[in-house]
Amino acid sequence: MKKWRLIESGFASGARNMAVDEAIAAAVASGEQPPTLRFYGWEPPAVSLGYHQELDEGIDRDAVAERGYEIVRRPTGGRAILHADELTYSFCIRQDEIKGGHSTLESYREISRGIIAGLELLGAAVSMGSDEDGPGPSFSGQDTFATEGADAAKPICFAKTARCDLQAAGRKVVGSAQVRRNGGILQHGSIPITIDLEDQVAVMPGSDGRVSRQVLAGAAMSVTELLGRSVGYDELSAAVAGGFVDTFEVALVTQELSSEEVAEAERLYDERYATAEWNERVPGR
Amino acid sequence: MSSGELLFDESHMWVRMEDEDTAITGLSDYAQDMMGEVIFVELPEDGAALVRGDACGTLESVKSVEDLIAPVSGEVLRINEEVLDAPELINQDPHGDGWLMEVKLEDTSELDSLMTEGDYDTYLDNLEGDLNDDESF
Repeated sequence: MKKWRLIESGFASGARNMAVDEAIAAAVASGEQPPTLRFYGWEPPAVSLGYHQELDEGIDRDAVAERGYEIVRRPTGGRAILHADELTYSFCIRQDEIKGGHSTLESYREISRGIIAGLELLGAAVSMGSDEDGPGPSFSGQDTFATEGADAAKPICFAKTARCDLQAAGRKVVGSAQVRRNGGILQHGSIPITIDLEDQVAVMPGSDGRVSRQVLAGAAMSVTELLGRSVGYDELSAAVAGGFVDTFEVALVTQELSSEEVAEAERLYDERYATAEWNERVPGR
Repeated sequence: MSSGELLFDESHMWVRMEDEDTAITGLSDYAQDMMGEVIFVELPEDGAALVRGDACGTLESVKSVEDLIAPVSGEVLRINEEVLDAPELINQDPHGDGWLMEVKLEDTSELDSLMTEGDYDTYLDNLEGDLNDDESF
């Protein structure tokens, strides 16, 4: 049986979390490390922005600062997420080590099988949007909504469901994004345990401040609501790990980051993710 | 656009010579198909120096970011401004209106290491073959 790595990082700042994800992705892409599943949380809570997203697009920076939250730009695509009470996963693998690895959508679909299986272990049924869903979920450039405020919600990840997102009853349960570099894939995603609607819309009011609690409530669903009971970070991470083991028929070996990864994460933290130059950059046009 | 022969590299970029040392480059049809709907393109500025094999921009699709890898070394003479505003051109016409950069080549001998269209097709067959052979998932 193949052995993949499991890294349990615990809670850290957004800049630290992104630096570690990118350091792992580089080590996996180069073949120095095996495919790696990692779990982490955010302390303090932070808004993460997509790689190409404009900082002020739908985000209230004053509300972020008032709460002591942080803002960090991800290495991956997609839209803004407020990471608070959630489990975050990241998964790194070489494109030639996973079915559909050369296709963005196919690799999303494949990796998502592990997450879906994990949530099933808890008794939850979620599915990935597909072409067969008709006018439902679509690519992020063509968002669809059950409620008003479509344009306003565009910058906010959990205010819309894209074709590669995991959902239940048409509401997004897991928001994921990828970066593909040097033959490797880094996919990470947010699995909200609870969603504080008031906090979410205060920090991310959307374009023109029109993402209401009602819009968000109709578009996103926490794992707690999905299961109808409270669930902890540890229980959720154990379930997702179990889902990967079952789906990909691998053994997950819990390890620490290598010294090379720690050093690379430190460099990326200092030179990229903890800098205003990176986090506030205006995407080149 | 010239109707000259397309050459390809392993990063799925095509190169078409315009004259003896000037080339147009873009993303291959295979690559745009694998990426899905392109929603954002970041290209180097005019005059930028490209180094073959190095990242020179980014593309985003399906919430996935990928580096754009320079297929040749040289100076960017101009970029396709139209594709910045309409990235879907990369999906609609990757080898035509979806072109990305015009480059003055630094060393035309680099062209020798690029693949012909036929070689590229074989390369893609092998890529897909590797995946189909993988029964471990």
